[in-house]
Parts: sequence; C-alpha cells; structure tokens
Amino acid sequence: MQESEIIQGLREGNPAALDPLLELHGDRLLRSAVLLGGDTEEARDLVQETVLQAFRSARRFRGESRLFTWLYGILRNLARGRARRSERLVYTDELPEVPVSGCRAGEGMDRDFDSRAIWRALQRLSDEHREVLVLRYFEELSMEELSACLDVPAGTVKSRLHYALREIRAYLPDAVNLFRSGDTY
Amino acid sequence: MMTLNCNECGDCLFEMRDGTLPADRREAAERHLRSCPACRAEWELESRLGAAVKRSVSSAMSSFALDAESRRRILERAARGSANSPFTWNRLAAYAAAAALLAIAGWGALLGMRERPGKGGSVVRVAPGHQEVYLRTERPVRRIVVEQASPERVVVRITNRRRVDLLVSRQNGVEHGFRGSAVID
Repeated sequence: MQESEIIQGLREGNPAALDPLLELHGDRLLRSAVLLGGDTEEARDLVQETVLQAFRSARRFRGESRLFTWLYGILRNLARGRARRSERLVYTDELPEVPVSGCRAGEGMDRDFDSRAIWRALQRLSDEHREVLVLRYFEELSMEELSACLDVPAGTVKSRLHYALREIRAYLPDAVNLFRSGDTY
Repeated sequence: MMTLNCNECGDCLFEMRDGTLPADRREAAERHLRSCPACRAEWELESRLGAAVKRSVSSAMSSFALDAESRRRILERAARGSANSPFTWNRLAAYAAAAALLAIAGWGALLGMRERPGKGGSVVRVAPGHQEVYLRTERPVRRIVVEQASPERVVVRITNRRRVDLLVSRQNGVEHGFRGSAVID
C-alpha cells in the first residue's frame, strides 16, 4: 500500500490503515523511540501512543511532509512530554548497551571496531546533537524534513549539524579510520 | 560568474547533498571544491562520517523490531476507539465529567505540592520505588525538578535558591536520608 493510501485510510478513520502503517514505519518508529528514550519497554509504549495519536489526528495532517516526518514529530513531542511529566532527564548512558555486530577477520574486524567507536561517541553527544545526526545519516532526512521534524528553522538545523559533526569527530579515537572502507554517504 | 569562499562553500554542503541548491550556487560550489583541497577534504570526511554513523546505528539498532503483541495492542485500541467515535451527547457528558475530575485532581496535586508533610517541607514524586521525596527547607520552595532518581541517589534542582537542609526519600514505607545530594542553582 502506498503512503498516500495509508494517509487516506487514516483520515477516514479506518483502523485497517494502521496495519500497513506499522509494516512500513513500526520498526523505524521503535528505533527512534529507543534513541529518544533509552528504555525498550517505554519505547514500545511511545510507539503505541504515537500511532494512536496519529490515527486520532490524521484529519489535521495536511500532507506537506512525508508520513514518517509527521509521525516522528508526534513521537518526539510525546517523548518530551513524558520526560517533563516524570520530571526526569534521560541520560545518554541510559541508552541500551547493544553489541554492534559480530567480529569478523580483517577489514570486517576493523569496521566493527569503527562501528563500536562511533556508537560510543554518539552516546557521548548531547541529545540534540545525537538526534540530528541520527535523523540525517540514519533516517536520511533532507534539511527541509529535518527542519519540520525538529521544529526549528533550516539555519538552526545546519549549524546544529555542523556542531554535531565537529563534536563526534572530537570523540572518535585516533584508531578510527573513516577512510578504511570505501563507503560514503 | 558566481564565486564562493570556503565558508560559503561549507554552508552549501548539506543542500548540495540534498540536491536542493540553485544551479548557479551549485556550480560555484563545485568549482570551489575542485580548486580547494581543504574544502574537498571536509566534503569527503562528512560523507565518510555520515556513512559510518549510518552503519553503526543500523548495526546497533538491528535487533529492535516492533513485536506482534505491540502491533496487536495498537490495532485493538484503534479499533475500539474507532467503534466509539460517533458523536453523542452521552460522550460529551462523559468528557465534561472527566474534565471536571481532572481539574479536581490537578488542584489536589497542586495543594499536595505545597503541603508540609509531618516535619515540614515540600513533596515531590520521583521514579517508581521512591514514592515521595520530602525536602525540608528553610522556606517553602517554589519549583522542584527531579533531575536524577535512583535507589542510591536523588538529585533535585530548586529554582528559588533556598538552602535544602535535608532530603528524605520514602521507599516502601522506610525513610532514607540523602544529606548533601541536592543541587541548588
């Protein structure tokens, strides 16, 4: 099912539209919720609330952004609201300790080392900087989408990205060689 | 012919990646990149770093997927909500009653915050396991934000610069003192 058909279904209040929506964006939203909140159980709750709120307010969605951008905006507001309500800050060291792929010999091993180093560096960033890097490079959002998602002007997104890139580079150990593999963004 | 200096070229970087830069500016940036090794290196580094962030986050987040139970719950709640959706006066009355209850509960909570429990101080709710924290202060505090709460330590921020004499966390009916744990800004 196409995004436009899902949106149409949501606007009509048809719960059947949620199935393809979850198929398309469920895992993605969960990963974003984990990165925003750090706790897997809470992340599942957040996704649930996000999807239900999207379902209830779909008539107000004007379709000016992509579906994920809109959903992410709802998720982010809910996560912030929860953090405020519980009057508790989410600390970067609460991010789940997850193994970053298994070890392989040679080039693969070097890449695993780099991946782990980058994950650790990401955890040291401020929430704001980590979020903008993840959205840009993992979710592959454009500057326009980032601006909509984060609810800040494009200029702010740009400077935030510049600072975030500078900060993560400072946290990377010298042994990390970004030019080792041929991958580029 | 438009020319760009290093700063201006750096400023174009993200829009160039998105392909949203106007043609004349894009051509000027490309010319600058061809002639400036430092900017070319930055361009390349950003690309590699982006790819490395993507690889690292993909690898760390690969195990997070929305489970069937969460999906089922979302669909069930949406279907329930949708079945109840037609407007009725009964529903309006129920909303009004709920709003009144919320207002009463909110007012009660507000009074609770100002209450001096037993030996004086203010009450704040923190993380599960710590039902209440009593702050004994020289004078009533205006605003308390719990910044960190664990069985070992509670950190609060108090905004009206009053000295905190003692912090007490009540856990399972037993009181624990946290002298000196308060952060006062």
